[in-house]
Amino acid sequence: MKNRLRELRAAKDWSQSALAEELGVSRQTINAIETEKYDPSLPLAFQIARLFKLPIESIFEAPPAEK
Amino acid sequence: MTKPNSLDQLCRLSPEYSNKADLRLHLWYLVACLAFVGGSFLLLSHPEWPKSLRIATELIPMLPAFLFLRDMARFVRGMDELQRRIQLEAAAVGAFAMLFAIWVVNVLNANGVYLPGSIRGLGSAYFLIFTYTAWRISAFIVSRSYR
Repeated sequence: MKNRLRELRAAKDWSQSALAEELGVSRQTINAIETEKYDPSLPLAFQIARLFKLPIESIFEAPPAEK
Repeated sequence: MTKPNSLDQLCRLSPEYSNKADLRLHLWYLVACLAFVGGSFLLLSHPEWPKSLRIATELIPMLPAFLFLRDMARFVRGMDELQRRIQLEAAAVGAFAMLFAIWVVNVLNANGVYLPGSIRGLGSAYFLIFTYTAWRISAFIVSRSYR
């Protein structure tokens, strides 16, 4: 799933470690989300949206619907 | 926010390595290994022991092994969602590696292939060490795929 996490983090001038600490996850988790190797759970996605004060769909791009 | 547990805390080469977390997690594993080694020596040096005593000696490492499993579950519970997924994949690989090892040992035993006495006697402890090693290696490999 595509996301804007790296871009939003850079805009705030936060390191991956700082963001990880804010969210209570490991730095590896932040890196895996940014590189799109891992899709966060819904609670974590909401936590990220809340932290950046943005709606969830403006951070994470929904995958195309399956037919 | 409290820092979640991670595999890096157990890797001596990582800057996040924590001696305390490492020792807390592995204490009962070390006790299980020591009980296994001590039991092996006792069984080899006292072949005259009755069967009941031999069985009890062979089963003693199970208790610290169970406590290690409990500590492992607590450690994994303190991880974040990605680390838990990595652990699940690694545990599955470790469990299947152990099943395949048991399979091979059973086939060798059934065909009369000589195995060292301690594999036949305290075989389960070998499997504990084998499963643990398989888990650590697969956790390292799976973890790298998310980097």
